[in-house]
Amino acid sequence: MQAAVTTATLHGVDAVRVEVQADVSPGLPVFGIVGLPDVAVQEARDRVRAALRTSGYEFPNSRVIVNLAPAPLRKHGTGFDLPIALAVLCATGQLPARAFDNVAAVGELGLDATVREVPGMLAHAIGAVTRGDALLGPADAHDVVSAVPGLSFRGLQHLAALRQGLPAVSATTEAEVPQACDPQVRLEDIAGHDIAKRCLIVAAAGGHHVLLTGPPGSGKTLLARALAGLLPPLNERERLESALIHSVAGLDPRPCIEGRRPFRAPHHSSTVAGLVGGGTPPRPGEISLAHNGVLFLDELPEFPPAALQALRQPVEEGVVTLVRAHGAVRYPGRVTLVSAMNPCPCGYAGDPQRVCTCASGAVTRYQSRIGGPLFDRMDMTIRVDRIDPELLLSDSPRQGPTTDEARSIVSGALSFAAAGRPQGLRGTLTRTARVQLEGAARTARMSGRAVTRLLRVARTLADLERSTSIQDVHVAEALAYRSWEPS
Amino acid sequence: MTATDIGHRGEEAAAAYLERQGMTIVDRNWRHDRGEIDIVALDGNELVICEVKTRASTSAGQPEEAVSPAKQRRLVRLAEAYLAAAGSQDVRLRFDVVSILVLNDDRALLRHHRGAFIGS
Repeated sequence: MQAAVTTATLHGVDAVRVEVQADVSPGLPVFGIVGLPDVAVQEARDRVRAALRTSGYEFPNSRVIVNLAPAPLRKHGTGFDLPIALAVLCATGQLPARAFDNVAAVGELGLDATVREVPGMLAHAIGAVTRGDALLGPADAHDVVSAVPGLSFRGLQHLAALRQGLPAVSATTEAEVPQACDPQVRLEDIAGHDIAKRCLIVAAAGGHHVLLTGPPGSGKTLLARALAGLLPPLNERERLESALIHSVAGLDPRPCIEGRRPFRAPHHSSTVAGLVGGGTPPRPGEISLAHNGVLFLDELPEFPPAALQALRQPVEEGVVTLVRAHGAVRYPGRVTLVSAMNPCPCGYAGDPQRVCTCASGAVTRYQSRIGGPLFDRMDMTIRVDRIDPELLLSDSPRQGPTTDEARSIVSGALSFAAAGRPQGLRGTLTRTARVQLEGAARTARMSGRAVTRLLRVARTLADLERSTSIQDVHVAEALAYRSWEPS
Repeated sequence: MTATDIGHRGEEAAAAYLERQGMTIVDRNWRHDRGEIDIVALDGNELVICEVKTRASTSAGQPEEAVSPAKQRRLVRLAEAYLAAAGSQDVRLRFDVVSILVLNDDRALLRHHRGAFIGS
């Protein structure tokens, strides 16, 4: 007898429909899986046999052939366990033949027949809604998949529960109030650094890329970590996007669903594949995991040059396209890039008080590791110098806005930019500001991209003041945030 | 008693056991150029290909451990040859292993593994 059950396999962040067909016929007893399964899918045979037995069903002593259609598509992951088990149960008449019409089944089976979560449950949920199917999957995934609007989810804890029929559609949980990121570092904990703090607020309000340069121990890392707290919670669309990438990568999507902005700080030993994504099957990289949030690269020149150069295209376009022999995979990766570096190997080049001990060529070599093109993509490059010990040790209250104050300033600027002013960049530039920008661009021989980026920073500065037009003060301040250039 | 004698006595005992279990012995020591099937029996509507392993000691492990993956593959091929010779493919097939551990002259432990393995 034959039966078919619908499931899906992951391709990028999409769940591509796959039909699991089972054929049970007399003859030499075998259990074969065909249709380009990977090793994990092949291992499903042992799990499915054990799970059927422990849940009181019978594995047929017959010729069992499972085909995963369309056959040319590569199938990976352990999520095929459940649909394979269901197809075998239907094909042997242990469950009604059409019990799973308009249902997509996904889940890993334990030897004890419990249904377990697999990476990409959110992608499977979105795919099921798009196709108009219900989703039958691990009951544990309920709080994750209920983030998908319009999904009817049937949670299954244990294979044996199917004896009572298809599980009921679980009630969707109410969406919680989005929560902002709870930062490890708050602005009010940082002494001094007024310019850098202002710069962080601008970066948060406009999604600008920032490069912080300064001697060791001056507070670069601390400042970068404080940025996470300045960003407003994710909106509904962003929540689903970011959670989807985490889900596909096999990480917990719940913080994103709750509205917390991603903050990723990969170590500088990261590879190209780790940073922008890759591998077989392809996995999203850190830039995609930081989508709609902050990607923090500490000790920027220490990253492998290939990894840094691979960042250029995604930083510009907000999307990573990985091309492989059997097709291209796209992962979103719209991030605020924050990086920190020492100006030279010893760390003291350009320091007003300490003498740099590096050999003359070493400083240039060190800075050139970042490369002009990546540097050109930084909207703001500022120096973070050591602060006065008196300021650090004084117990008088810190100057400047607190994290909570800064976050409401950022939210105000964001809503003004979205709804309170005409859209577009050039149209809002005043005549004096334009003359000033033109002059500066000519003197500094700025690239077209650098001018556009500068203009965008100026626009954000105007938004922070709720000014419809970009004035010369905004251009001047934006110019000041390009104060440090590699020598 | 030589190892061959032990093997023969074991197969006798296994066949007698399977018959007591209600099976019908169809063939004994069915030979083919690739090897031999110890016992072919009918259990209801299932055709049982049975391999018998007899040992006088467990010094080399339990008897059934001798049915290695390679031996299993050989038995699967033999079963296909048997079905071809019998002119029938459309039959339910099962692979059993009977393991016999001889304790002394008139005492032995017998273990019957139904559906011990399947083809791959």
